[in-house]
Amino acid sequence: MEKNYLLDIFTALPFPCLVFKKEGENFNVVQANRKISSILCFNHDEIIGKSLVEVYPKDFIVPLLQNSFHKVLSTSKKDVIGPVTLNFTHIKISDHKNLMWDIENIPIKDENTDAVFILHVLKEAVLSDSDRNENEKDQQYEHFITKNPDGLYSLDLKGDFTSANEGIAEIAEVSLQELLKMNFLPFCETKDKEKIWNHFQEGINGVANTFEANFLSAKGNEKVLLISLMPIKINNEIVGTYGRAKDITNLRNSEKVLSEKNHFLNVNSMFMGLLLEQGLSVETLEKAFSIVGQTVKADRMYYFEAVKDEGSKETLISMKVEWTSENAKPEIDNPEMHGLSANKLQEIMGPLTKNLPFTAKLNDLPECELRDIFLDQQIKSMLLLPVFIQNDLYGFIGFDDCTTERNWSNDEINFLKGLAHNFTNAVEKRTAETALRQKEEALKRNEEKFKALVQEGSDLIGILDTSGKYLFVSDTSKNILGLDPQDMIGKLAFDFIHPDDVQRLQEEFGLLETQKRVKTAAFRFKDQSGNWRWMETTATNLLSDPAVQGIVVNSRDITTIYEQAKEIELINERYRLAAKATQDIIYDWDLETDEVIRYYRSLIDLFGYTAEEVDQRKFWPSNIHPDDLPHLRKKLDDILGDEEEFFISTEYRFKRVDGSYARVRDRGFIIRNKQGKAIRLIGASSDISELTAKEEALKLANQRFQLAMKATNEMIWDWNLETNEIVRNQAFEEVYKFSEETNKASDFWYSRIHPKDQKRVKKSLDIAMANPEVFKWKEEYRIFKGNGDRAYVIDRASMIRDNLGNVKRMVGAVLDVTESRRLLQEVKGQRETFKEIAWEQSHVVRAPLARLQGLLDLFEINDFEVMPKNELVENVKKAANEIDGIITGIVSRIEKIEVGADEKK
Amino acid sequence: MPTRKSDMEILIVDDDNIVCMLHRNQLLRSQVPYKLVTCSNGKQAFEYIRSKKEEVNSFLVLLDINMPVMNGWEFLEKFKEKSLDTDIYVVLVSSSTYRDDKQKAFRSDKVIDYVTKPLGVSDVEKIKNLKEIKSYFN
Repeated sequence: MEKNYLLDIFTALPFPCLVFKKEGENFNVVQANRKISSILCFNHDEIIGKSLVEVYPKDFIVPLLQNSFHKVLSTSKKDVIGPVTLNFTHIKISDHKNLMWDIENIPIKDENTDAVFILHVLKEAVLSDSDRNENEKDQQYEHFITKNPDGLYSLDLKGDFTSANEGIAEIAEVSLQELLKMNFLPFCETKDKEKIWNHFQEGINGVANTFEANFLSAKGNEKVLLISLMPIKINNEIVGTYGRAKDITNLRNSEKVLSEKNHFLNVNSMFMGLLLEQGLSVETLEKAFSIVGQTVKADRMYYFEAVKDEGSKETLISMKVEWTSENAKPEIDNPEMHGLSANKLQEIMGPLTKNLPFTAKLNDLPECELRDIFLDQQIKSMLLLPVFIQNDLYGFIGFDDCTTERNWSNDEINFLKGLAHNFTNAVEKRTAETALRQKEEALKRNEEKFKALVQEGSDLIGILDTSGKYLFVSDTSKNILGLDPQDMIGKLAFDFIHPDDVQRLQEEFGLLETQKRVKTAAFRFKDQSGNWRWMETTATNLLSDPAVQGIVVNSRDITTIYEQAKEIELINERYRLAAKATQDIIYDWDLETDEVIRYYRSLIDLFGYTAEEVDQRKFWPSNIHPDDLPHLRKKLDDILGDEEEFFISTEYRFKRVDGSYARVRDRGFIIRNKQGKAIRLIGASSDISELTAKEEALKLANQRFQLAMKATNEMIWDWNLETNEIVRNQAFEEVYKFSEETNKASDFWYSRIHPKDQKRVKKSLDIAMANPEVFKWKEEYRIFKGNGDRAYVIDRASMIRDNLGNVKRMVGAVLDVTESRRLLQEVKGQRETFKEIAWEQSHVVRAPLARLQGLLDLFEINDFEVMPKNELVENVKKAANEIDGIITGIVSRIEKIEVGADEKK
Repeated sequence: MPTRKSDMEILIVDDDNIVCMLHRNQLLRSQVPYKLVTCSNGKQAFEYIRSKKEEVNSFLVLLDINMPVMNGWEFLEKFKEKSLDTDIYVVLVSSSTYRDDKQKAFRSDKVIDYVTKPLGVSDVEKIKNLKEIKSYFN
C-alpha cells in the first residue's frame, strides 16, 4: 500500500523524473514518471530498462551523470548538476530542445540506509533575462560562478573574455584582470586550435556543446580541459557564449601514467620473455633493445661489457649490442667504442662502480672526454644503468637521447633499473650456467681422459707391490691380453713373462731402487690364449705415494709394431732385391720427415757415386742440372699439392761423378693420407741417356728421311700398320699425278694396280708380311696413273717388325721403270735382230764360205779325182757370188733397222 | 743262218751336195773303215736309220743344222719322241759359229761333238778319238 502510494506521488511529480538502478557497470531505468514520458518519444513501458547512454545518447552529460551517480551511491547524499543543456535525441517537443536544466540525483535508501536507487530529477532552468530578478542572478552568480572550482566564463562573438571567475584565471595561470583583456585563442594548443574554434562557432551559432581539448597556460603548462559552451541569448539574439572549463589534466596525466606504467610492465615482461626464451644472443638483445628503446623514446640503447685487462689490470669497456632510432647513427662499429679505458671516463665509472645510475646532459658537462663523445655522437642526454654481478661491475646498459636534453623521470629510471636488474639476472644466470657447463665439461673430459688412458686406452696399466704381484690391473687387459684383471691381480707379473726375458727384466726392475722410472726393452708377455705378445713397459716407483703405494707399470703392446718392423725389413729386402734386378734406382721418400731411402744395384754403373755420397740428404737435388731444378720443384709442388694426382713422371739432367750429365726419367707413385695430403712418394729413377740418344738419332734419321722423300723422284711411302695411315712424298702427285685427296683411301694404291697384276702383288705382299724372317719385299707391276697412263713400277719395301714378328711399319719406294722397260724392249728387239744377223752369218753367210773353204782345200792338195778342176773352179765362183749376195742383203737390212730406230726417236 | 750285224755306218746328212762330197772325201782320206751313207735332210736320215737298225749296231751321224724338210734340231727332237733301240752318235757339222747353236747342240744326249764347216782331216781325226766312239776306230 505504501509502495503504491509513493509510486502514485512519484508518477504525479511535476518534474521529469527517472529512477536508476546500478546493474553491473551500467545504470538502467527502473521507473519513469508521467512528466518524463511527456517530453521523450518513449512511452512509460519503453523507457523502463534503458541504460543511461540510451536515454542520453552521445551526450557529454553521460560521464558527468555517471560520476554523479557513483558519488550518490558512495556518499548516499544528493548531488546536483546544472544548469545544463540536455541533448535529448528522442525529444518530443521542440521547445524543450534549448532548455537549461538543473539536475538533482537523490539517493533512495533501503532498510539499511544504503542507497540502492537514484532518483533522477530534471528541473527546468531556462534562463530568461526578463523573468529573472536580480536577487536570483546574484545567487546564481555566487553559486555557479564565483564559488565554482571549475572555470566559468563568457566570451563575446569574437572570443574575447567578457566575464570569468577565479577558477578559469587559475587554470589559465593569469590574473583575472589580464584574462578579461584577452581572447581565448592564445590558450589553445596548436594541434587542437581548429577543433576548439569549431566548437566555439557552434556555441555562438546557438548550439550548446561540450568537448575535451588541450590548452596551454600563460606559463606554458599543458592543460587538458573539459569545456561546455552555451549560447548567450539577449532578446533572442545570440551575443556570445557561456563557458565552463573543467581542468582534467591530472586525470588524463594519471591515466597516461597508468597507461605508461602498464606499457612499461608489458615491455619488461616482453624483455624478460625474450631473454628467457632466446637467451642472451646479440640478435635477441637487439630485438629487446629495440622494444625498450622505442618504449622510453630513446634514440640509442646499448650494452657495454667491462673486462679487466690481465696485463695492465685496467678496466676496458666495449660496446657489445646496440639499437638506434632513425635520429641516431650506429656506433657499434666505431673502433673507439671497443677497448675503451674506463680510467678516462671517471665521471661515468664513479657512480656505476658504486652500482648507481648515471645521467648527464650535454650542457651540464664540463670539457672532458665524455663531452667529446656526446658531441661526436650527437648525444643530448644520457642514462647509464650498471650491471653488477657478484659485487663487480660487469657492464652497463645505456640510453642516449639525441633530440632533447632530457630529464629522465623517476618512473622511467625505476622502470629501466628494473629492466637492467632483469638483464643482470639473465647475465648472471648465463655466466653461472656457462661456468657450470665448463666445469661439467672439464669433469667429463677428465673422466673421459681417465677412461681413455686407463680403462679403454691401448696401454695396460698395473700396480705392483714390492714382490712383483699385481695390486691393480686396468680393464684394458681384456682387449690387450684377453685376460680379466681379476685373473692377474694377486699373481706375480713375472709368471706371465717369457722365461728367456725374465732375468733381464728383473735386472731392469732392480734399477727402481735407485731411480724413479725405468723403461724396459721389449719382452714377451703371455696372453689368455698362451700366445706371446711383445710388450714395452715403463715402470714408475710410487711406493712412497700414499695414494698408490706401489710400482706403476705402464705397458704397451708393440706386437703389431714389432711384426710390422719385421715386415718392413722384409719389404726393404725385397726393394733391395728388386733394385738389384734393375738398372733403376728405387726410392721411398717420406714427405713428412723428408727422409729418402734409396735401393740400387750399383750407382757406379749409373752415375759413379759412392754409397756414402748417395745417402747424404741433399745428394739428389744438388746434382740435378741447375736449369732443370726450378721447373722440377714447381712440378713436384703442383702435383703433390693436387689431391687428385697419384702419379708423377719427370725428366731431368743428373750430374755424373765425371761432371757429364745423364738424362734421367723419374716415375713415382704418391701415397696420400685421408685428408688427401701427400705423405710418401715411391718411385724409380731410370738412366735414359742411351734411349734419349737413340731417340735423337731416330729423330735425325726421320728428318733425313723426310728430306730424302722430298729430294727423290721415287715415290716413297711410309705405311703405319697400327694406325693404317700411309704417308707418301711429293712424287705421288708430281710423278703419278694423283691428288692428295685420293691418298686418304686405304686401298687406293691396290685399286690402281693393273687387274692382271693385282692378285700376284697382293699374294706376294701377304706372303712376305706373314713370314717373320722376311724384312724386304720387292715386286714389279703395272699401275694406272692419275692421268690414265699406264706405268711399270718396281716397288721395294723394308718391313719393321715388333718383338713378336708382326709388321708395324713398312717403308718403301716405287720406281717408275716404264721408260727403262721401253728401252729394254727396244734393246731386246735389237738383240733379236742381231741374233738373226748372227744366225744368218753363221748359217747363211758361212755356209757358202765353208763350202768355198772346202773346195779351196781340194785345190790345195791338187785332188781333182772327186771333182774335175773346172767344175771345182765353177763351184768356187758360185760360192763366192752366193757370199756376195748374202752380204749385200745384210747391209740392206741393217740400214732398214737404223732408219726405224731414228723414226722411233 | 743269221747275217752278222755290221759294227757301224756313217751317215753324212746335208742338203748341200758339194758339202756332202767334201765330207765324204775327208772321211775317205782318213780311211774310216765303215760304210758312208749320204742323206739330204733329217727325215731321210731318220728313215734310213730306222730301216737299218736291225742290220747295223751303231750309226755315226755327221749332221748339218740348216736343212729343208727336217733340219738338224728336228732330227734330234725326233729321237726324243721315238727311240730306235740302236746306238746313234751325232756330230753336228755346221757352218754356224754362233754360240747359241753350240750350246743348244750339246743339250741333246745324242750329240757327241760340234764341228764347224768345212770338215777337215784333223776334224775327222778328232771325231775318231771321241771317247764315245773311240773303240770303233782302234
